[in-house]
Amino acid sequence: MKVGLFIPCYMDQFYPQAAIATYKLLVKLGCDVAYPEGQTCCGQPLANAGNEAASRGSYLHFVTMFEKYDYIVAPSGSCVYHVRHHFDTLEQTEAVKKVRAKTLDLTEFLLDVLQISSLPAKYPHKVGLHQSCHGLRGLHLGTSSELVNKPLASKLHELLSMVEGLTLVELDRKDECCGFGGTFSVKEPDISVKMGKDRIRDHFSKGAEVITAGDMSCLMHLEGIISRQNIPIKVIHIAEILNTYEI
Amino acid sequence: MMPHAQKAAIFNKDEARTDWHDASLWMVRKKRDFAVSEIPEWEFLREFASDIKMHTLSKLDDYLESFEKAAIQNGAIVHWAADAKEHNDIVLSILNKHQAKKMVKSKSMLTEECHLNEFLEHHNIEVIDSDLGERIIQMLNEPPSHIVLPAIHLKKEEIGELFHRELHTEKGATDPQYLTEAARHHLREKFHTAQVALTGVNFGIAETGEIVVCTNEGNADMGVHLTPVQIHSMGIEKLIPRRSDLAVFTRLLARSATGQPVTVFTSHHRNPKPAGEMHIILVDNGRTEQLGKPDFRSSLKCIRCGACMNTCPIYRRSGGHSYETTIPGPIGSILTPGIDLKKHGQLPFASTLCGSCTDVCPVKIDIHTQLYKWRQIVSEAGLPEGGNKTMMSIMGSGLASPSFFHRLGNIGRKLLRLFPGKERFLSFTVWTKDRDLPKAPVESFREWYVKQTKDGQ
Amino acid sequence: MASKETILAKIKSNRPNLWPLPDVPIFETSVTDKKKLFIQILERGGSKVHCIDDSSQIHQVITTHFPENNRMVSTLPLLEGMEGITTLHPDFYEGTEVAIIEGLIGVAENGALWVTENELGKVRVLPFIAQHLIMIISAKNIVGTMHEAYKALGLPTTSGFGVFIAGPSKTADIEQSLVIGAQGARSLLVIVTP
Repeated sequence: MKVGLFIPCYMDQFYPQAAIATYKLLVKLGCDVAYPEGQTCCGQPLANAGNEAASRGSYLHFVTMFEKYDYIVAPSGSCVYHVRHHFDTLEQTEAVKKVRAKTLDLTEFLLDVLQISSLPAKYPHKVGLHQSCHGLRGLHLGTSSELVNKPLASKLHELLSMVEGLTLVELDRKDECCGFGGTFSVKEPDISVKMGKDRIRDHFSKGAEVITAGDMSCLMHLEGIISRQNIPIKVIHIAEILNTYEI
Repeated sequence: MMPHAQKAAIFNKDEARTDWHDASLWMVRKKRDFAVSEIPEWEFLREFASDIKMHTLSKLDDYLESFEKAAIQNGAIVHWAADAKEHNDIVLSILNKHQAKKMVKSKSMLTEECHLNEFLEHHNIEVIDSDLGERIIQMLNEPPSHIVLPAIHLKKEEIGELFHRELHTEKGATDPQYLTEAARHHLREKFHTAQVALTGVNFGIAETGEIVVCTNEGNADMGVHLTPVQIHSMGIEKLIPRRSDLAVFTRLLARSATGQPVTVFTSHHRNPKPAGEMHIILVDNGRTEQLGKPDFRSSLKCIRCGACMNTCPIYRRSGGHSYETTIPGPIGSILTPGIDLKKHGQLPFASTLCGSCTDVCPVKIDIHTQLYKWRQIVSEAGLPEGGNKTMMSIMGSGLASPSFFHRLGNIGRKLLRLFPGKERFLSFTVWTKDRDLPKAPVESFREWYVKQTKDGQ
Repeated sequence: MASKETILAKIKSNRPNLWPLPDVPIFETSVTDKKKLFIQILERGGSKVHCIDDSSQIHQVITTHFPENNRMVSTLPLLEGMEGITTLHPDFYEGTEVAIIEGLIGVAENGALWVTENELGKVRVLPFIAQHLIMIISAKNIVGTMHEAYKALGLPTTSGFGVFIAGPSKTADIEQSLVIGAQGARSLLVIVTP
């Protein structure tokens, strides 16, 4: 199984450790992983700012880069959601259809394709799980709190439950948005920051040492506030927690 | 018009008050969660409601005609209004016909949309909003900040002061029970002396010509049954085909809106009271226009429950007035750009596209997808919210070019390494006003990967 | 009629393709004791409920709850000391302390009781204008859900007004604080007969 690794642009530059963890984890689980070096961006930043037309070029480039892989895996529900849902504006060639269908978030790839049921990972910490919205409500990696009568769990919960020593804290608001929202974070900075502060307070007050999520963008935003306000809590991508083991 | 972001920033200056506003609405959301959890078939009901509404929209002309026919047969008088002006003129003509100078009104977002109060007051008609929240904001000369909880932005101290001024309650009195009692006495008198009552309409039933009005206070019924002339202003999208469809919608509406199992009063008006007169005004005012937009027509399914406002993390932290629309919050941000793109084109950007509104919506409107689509239209129209088109197109080409992209990324990271987050260098950017930038690592993932794979070989 | 034609024409040119109308099943409640649920939901919503074994006890229940000799208006076969419907003029009923009416259908899932103008002696304002409201319903007429209720109601033929009443008038418009007794009745007492 050939896996093409897609690393969102800001992760490549600012959070390589999360990308490295993703890569190493997939390799340890026996995947033939390649990182196509010509890759750029899924186009989401422009499209969410209302410029879908301008991001067409990057959509097409994405398809060219990844069409030869059996699966395209990214440690970001948000970028995956964009590829799966918003590449519908391209002409639906075989390549486009394949890329859209086969682009998966890391957590769904681990559970639905590799079907792992255990991991030897160890992370003896109190952890708060931030449910990134695009993964949760866009990719349905879990059931959002608005929906009824389905277990309130997610693929992220399932994976974290495999990690030895990890304790999840119970939050007041299980899946409220952190306020990043891409372009929103700079168009509406005051609310964006306020939302972030409120999320951090929820995690911190429940004793979380670490906030984790499936999307580094949410964590980047939260980390920016945590750092500015010197709050003793850290952020870490879920891939880094899942990768805490050696073979 | 002040941008939403600016209004939101002002709202956020008083953080304690923002927290209070957020918590009040979150409590309503939690009540809603509990109420819907009692219905195992909730998700099916949403699906049925959505399908019933879509079906009605797909035959809206037929259903409107059936509705009119049945209503006339019942003894009602049916009017058609193409826009707000025509609606207001019709109301005034009914008032004039009866030489009425005083009208009580129950909650109607449609009349807010038509600015009926201002119009009638200009024609020397006294209009009394009879819903407590509506009465409060009417006395303050403010628009509602929420479609179900119109005075949710006000503190009881402020209402106490207002009532002291207007209703001569004791100075400093803030007890909601006491204030509500004062309003009860004040409004009782109005119900008895008004000549005309106007209500909004929650549902119109095509097969029976009935209109259904849902309230908790009983104010709509007090008005309608005590005055000789009743007027019901109804957006044309309020129709449903069958009386039995009400089962679906009454189960969804109150649970979504306030977390009650049903509104206290669900009144079905079919004909005028003995010796009374019943008017129904069917209003378009932009709805047929929205119906013609395939990406946005499903917004007409809305039953005005307000759940998307209660769940919206932005609405809760910016207040309804920050949207400067009759209907604020997520649903307003997809309804209003179609009415005036230039004025309301900024609203689709007042969202993180988190999708909570879509999941909470009892009639399954894909609100966040429509917000995304409105952004594209705003940008194509060349409005400033969509960004500079030339810049965007250059950036677009850049994102499609590996070499440009990598150089840009590396430059960005290296700049950050030279000038880390808290330094003056970047403090002018919006991001760093209250947030630090990430600590830039020595090497990018790409650099690591290239080294790694070379070492491996 | 110009606007009617314009609106209909615009709909015709703008409406989507025909969307099928779903058949909605009659969802029933999974709760077996509907009466118990009905009472529980009513009480949760701020109503009082009094169950009796025999209709002859109605009068006694009413005097227990409202011992003072206030103005009571009843549309039921006249109970001792009570006023019936004497005029259709609605303002006449201002000052009614207690109105006593019969509910036709009770809905367990939300505590709503259905009443039409026929049970109100055509005085539609009665349950709203009275300071307190008493509704009498037979346990036989309690259904599970709104689906069952509307099925039982069918289409209106003899009545021009009908209402589901699910409790006393209330508001939470001031800081979300629940206040019972907004514009309508300040209390609802439901008497459940066999």
